[in-house]
Amino acid sequence: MNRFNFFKIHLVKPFWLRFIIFIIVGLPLFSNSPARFISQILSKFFNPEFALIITYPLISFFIWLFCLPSLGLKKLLDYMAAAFAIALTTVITSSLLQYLLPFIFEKDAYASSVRLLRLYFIVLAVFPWSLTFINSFSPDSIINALMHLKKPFRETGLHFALALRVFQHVGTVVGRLLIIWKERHPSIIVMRHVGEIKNLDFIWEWIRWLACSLIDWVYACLILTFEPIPAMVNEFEILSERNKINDSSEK
Amino acid sequence: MTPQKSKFAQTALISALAALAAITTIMVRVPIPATNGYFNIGDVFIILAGLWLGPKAGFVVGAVGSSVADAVGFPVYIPATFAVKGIEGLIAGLPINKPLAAFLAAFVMVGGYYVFEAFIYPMVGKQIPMFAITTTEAALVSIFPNFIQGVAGAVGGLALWHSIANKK
Repeated sequence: MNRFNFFKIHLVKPFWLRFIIFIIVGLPLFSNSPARFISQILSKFFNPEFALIITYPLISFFIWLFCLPSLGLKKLLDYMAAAFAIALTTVITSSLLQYLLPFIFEKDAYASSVRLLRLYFIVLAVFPWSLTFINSFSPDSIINALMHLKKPFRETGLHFALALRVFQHVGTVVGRLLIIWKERHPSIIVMRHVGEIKNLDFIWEWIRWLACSLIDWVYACLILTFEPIPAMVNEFEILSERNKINDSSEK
Repeated sequence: MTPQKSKFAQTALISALAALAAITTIMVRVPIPATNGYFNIGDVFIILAGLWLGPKAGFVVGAVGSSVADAVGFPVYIPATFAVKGIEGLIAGLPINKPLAAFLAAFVMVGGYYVFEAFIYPMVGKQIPMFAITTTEAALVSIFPNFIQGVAGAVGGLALWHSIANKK
């Protein structure tokens, strides 16, 4: 397994190099320019429209490959499952709203489809990428590094480390909770129920499903997000107190 | 559950709400092609942060959480989002009647985006082409989805705040 360590981004040192690699790999998620550049290259071999369409899955695939060694297959599949649920919800809801409110959205169906396709693959890639990103920086190593700093920087650094730990916790919890969408409200997305909803009723059912799923998900997120916060805060208060005692004994 | 007095507890709660605001903003994104923007449900946590933790926390959650979400796919909107969503959270935290604060924050969000999309971005876009993504007419189109987003955020934020306040 050691030969794969070279590809594990969380082992890259120093931390700023790791940060730069993440930004470079994630650049297509922030800007449209890399996708345009890749599609220009691909259009030498394929039809330009086809080149543009396959660029987005290619970028997503590359980002998944980048995340795989650090996350491991099981975790990556968990994150991808959450990402697919989010991406499908996003594009189906967008399509339905475009159908219901055509005066707000563009009339060019092709441009609209390409836009949704891009959004779909960005969401698929952004979820694993951002969770790998925040989990690749350890709050413990920040705390250790802070020990050499002066008092005001150390206190600010502790707040930063706590914020990072909370972000890591929220990222882990939120993805796992998406199962609520299927478990508590299966009517739309479980195959055996699909035939029960006909034509225009589907739009109403979809909106109802989305609203109920989101409400349950948001409540579950709040409960599970805040649950470990008192323990985390307690740990950082103890560290801060210990630093204060050390400072006074040094004087 | 009450807002903690410890600075670390404040940091933890603000970070958690900012992370939730960022994630929910990314989660359900409906693109609005006229303005190159999108409809989302992240306002729920911004208004909750203001109502629960006060104006400063509301500002931080709105400005940071939503800007992080904009960085993915819509970076040109970061300046507008930082200002508008930050002010939205700040107004939600004002010490006035809570439902009034929540709906006022939502309407300020709608107005703030209109000002950016109708006037500031077209003006800045003349100097920096990257910002030339919207016009006064397009900004009018986005008022309706922004209004729905704001009202949904206010109702959701108030509902969550009620649930939390009742646990005291």
